[in-house]
Amino acid sequence: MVRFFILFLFLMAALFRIDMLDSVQANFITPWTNLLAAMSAFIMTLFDSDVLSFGRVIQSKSTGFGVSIEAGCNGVEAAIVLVSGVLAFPAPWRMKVMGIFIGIVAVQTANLLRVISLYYLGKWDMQVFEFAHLYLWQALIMLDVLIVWLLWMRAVSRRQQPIKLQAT
Amino acid sequence: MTPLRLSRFVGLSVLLLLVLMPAWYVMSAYLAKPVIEGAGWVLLSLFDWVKGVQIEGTVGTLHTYLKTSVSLPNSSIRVGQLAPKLDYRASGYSIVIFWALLIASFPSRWWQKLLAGTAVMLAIQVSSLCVQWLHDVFNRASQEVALQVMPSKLAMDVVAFLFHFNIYILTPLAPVLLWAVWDNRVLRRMWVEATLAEALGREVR
Repeated sequence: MVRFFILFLFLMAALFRIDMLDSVQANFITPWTNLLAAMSAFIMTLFDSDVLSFGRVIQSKSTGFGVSIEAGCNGVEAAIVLVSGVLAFPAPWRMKVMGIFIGIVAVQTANLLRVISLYYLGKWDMQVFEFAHLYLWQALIMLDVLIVWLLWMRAVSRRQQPIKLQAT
Repeated sequence: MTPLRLSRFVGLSVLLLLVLMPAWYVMSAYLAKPVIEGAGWVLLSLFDWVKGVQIEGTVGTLHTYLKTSVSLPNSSIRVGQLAPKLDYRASGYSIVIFWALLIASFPSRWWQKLLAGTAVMLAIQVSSLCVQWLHDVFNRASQEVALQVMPSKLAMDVVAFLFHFNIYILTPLAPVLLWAVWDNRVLRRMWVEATLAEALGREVR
């Protein structure tokens, strides 16, 4: 387990350093953030026609109120933690790839929920928005990462059980 | 040691987070005081350009001897001493994650672990505040401040990296790691199951 923690911390630091590079920001992170804003706005327009998005901003057409998705709110850092946890854990590579793919989808789904809820909280009350934005959702997203990782670890052990039966 | 059902643990953690976070917010001024004072004491011990700290609620101001000038709207210049501010709550919320996870997992001697873990979290938050203030002085202040402090390029880069890594990753992750150390039943059981299964699978192949 010590080896896991050392590898986990090293991977996180390395991936985060890569994330900070200007070229990565310009070619991956910014387009991803814009896509996140567009996806959020698309979901919201299913029940609220007052919403539009441009770049990383989601805005109300009638009031002009808007939120901008910045670093820390685009789910990239949460994905880095999850990917590092999956890669550092001793498991078959096939399970790791599946874990990373499904895990990122799960984390980004929670992140979509965060963006949408914060938009409406901000429209309603800025104090509640600040509380949810700066503290509550930051904690919930990390809890989501932990839960996804624990579920993946359980899937890794259960996948191997038919082989265990054959061996006995 | 009683087994821990994952579904119960997850549900309880989320519920506790929703309940404890507003309570922490109300109490945050009391938790801010030792953390801000601790960070001020550390920086005062390390750097001679630090004068002290001032606390107002959850906001801490680091008073320094570093001269800096500010251009005012009427085109005049005012000279003063650099005094970066920060809000304890920006990283202080992470303690709630630790409380929620530990209470949800309910290990043996949980209240002792809660108290000890809280003390460790406050110490982690002290280091977090130190990094934030150092980043303000090394990387965000004016050129004339840099000429007085003279940090090396390496120190500036390391502090900048630590600042961003801390804010975006370590702050919410540290309580999870601490919980995993304090109550490792969940992780240990799943770890043993997964690694045994993997080893058995390799033997059969």
